Amino acid sequence: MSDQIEDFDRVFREKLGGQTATPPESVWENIKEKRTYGHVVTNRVVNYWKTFGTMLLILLGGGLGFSSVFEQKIEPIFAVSTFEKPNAKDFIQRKEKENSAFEASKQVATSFPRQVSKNANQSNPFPSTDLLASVHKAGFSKPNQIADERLNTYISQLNGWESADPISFVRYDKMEFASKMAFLLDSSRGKAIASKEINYDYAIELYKRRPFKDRAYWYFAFTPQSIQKVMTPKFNLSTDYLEDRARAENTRLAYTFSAGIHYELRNHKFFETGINLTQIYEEMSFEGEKQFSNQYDFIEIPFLLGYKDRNAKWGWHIKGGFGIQVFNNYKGYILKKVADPNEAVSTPQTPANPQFRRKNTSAVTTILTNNHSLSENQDRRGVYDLSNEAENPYSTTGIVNLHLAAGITYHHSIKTSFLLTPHYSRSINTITKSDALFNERINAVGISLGTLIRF
Amino acid sequence: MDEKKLIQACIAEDKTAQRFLYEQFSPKMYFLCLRYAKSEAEAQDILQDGFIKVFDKLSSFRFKGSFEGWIRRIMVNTALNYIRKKSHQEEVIGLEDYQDQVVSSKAISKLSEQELLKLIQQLPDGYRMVFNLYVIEGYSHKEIAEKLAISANTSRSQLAKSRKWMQAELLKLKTSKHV
Repeated sequence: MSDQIEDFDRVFREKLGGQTATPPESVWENIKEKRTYGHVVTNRVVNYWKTFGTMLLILLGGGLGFSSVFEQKIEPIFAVSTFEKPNAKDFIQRKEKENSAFEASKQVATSFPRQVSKNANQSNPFPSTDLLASVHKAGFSKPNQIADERLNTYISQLNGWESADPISFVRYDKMEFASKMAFLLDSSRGKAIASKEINYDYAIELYKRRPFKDRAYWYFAFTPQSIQKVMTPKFNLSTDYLEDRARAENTRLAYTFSAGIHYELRNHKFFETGINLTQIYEEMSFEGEKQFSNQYDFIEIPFLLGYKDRNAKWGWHIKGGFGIQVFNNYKGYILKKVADPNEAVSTPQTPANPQFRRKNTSAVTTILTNNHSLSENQDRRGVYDLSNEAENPYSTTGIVNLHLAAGITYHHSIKTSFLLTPHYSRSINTITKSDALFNERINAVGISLGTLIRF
Repeated sequence: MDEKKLIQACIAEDKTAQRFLYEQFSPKMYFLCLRYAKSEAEAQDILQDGFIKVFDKLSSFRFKGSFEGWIRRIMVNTALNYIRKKSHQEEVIGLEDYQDQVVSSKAISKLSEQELLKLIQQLPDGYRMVFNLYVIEGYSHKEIAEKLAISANTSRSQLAKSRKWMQAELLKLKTSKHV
């Protein structure tokens, strides 16, 4: 019997052991295509372009709305486009000399021309009750939202008009000294207008420099995101592995919490900095069954410059800049490059016990419990453990991100504003270590829900 | 071209050398893949994945032992992984229905390579892997057990069943030829 078996085996071995067959040409073509070095692989982000398109529509919608507002902007009724501060020393000397009733005021003042229009309504030398009543609004509103166009015109020339202090509007008839030292530049004529040519109704104090607390806000935001990974092979790596990863990895959650300071500079510009905490949670599935998961935690310090404007309650803002990731933490697993050809493979199994299925595991639960364990079906040799520094291909620090954002602002009160800001960011350098077999950058598109709270 | 130079040229991503290496080894490897696969399409997939791994891993070849043997090991492991991922449902085979009749090796040797190949391809996944590894590649049951993460006894049992199944199929074939 044993001989019979041996003969049986020998026939097969002899007949099939050294045989050859010619594979079709398409196999080589596929190999060549898959091994094209430098091919960039990105994961499939279903909602990426949808999100981007939605944000574009919001921006376009917002832009059209604001452009129509600007079209309604009134023409200045005074030939004044620039106000300059008078010489403070001169002013104080004159003030002391004239023994003004407003001696207590040491602030530099600039004056507001009475009018040059022939319009009877605007030639009233006395401030209207309505105007005085609207002073608070003037301090908080866009110029063309209040009744007095002269005041509108003036406010529109101010830097940082949104924080102009209402009490700084005073009757000019009690500040006659100002008319003697204030001067105005007429940009259209390119020369100074003599003070005697004009009269003044009001004077508005200007801060030499607004104090920190008037310029600074706490900034908090939450930004749900769509993530796209851009992976490029290095060294001799084929794109096959990266394509496997791109196919398998499914981003379940990606968001950024931001907390920081929003500081107003001159001419509607602002600066933002603080801390961003970004968390990305991914799951890898095989044939619909979760095999393992991973989590990226990025702590970043952003440095953003922006510009903002507003119209009464609504405004818009645009900002951009860089962020430096100061600490990154990685948990869970990612697919390994390729199985070692000399490693044993695991059993070709039908799962003995189907109870381990975990495809419905909540992403939030996994993040909170930090449970990124492997499925019983997943071969440990087929993955990199991100918690193991020797296996983890990602850098823990030194990644620089570009940020661009533009959105709308709702000014709820003088202290609080709410922001809706489509946000785009991308890593400028790779998030992988220098000896990793691939480069990986992350693009993110999200909509930031934020608030500004004045100090 | 000297084998070492060829390998070094392939590591340096010389496309001509890679093509040369592929042409040199792909016919043997393709037939190996056909033995493990259920169809030509599957064999082509395995061959493609295997050669991508070969090119990726070339730099780890230490020039110790046969280069062909090294490629063969990669192909075999790729084939086993492929079958595992495909997770073909194991057909239920009523082996008890088969007679213990034996077709002589002389009769088997009259069959063509293509007929024997087809017979192997029809084997259920588990049997096919063990039969190929033991009978053709020459692995021991212990090695098969490690490779497939099964026990050596299971390997022996799978091999016995695969032989029995093939004998029965050969008998059918013989009968039909006589008819």
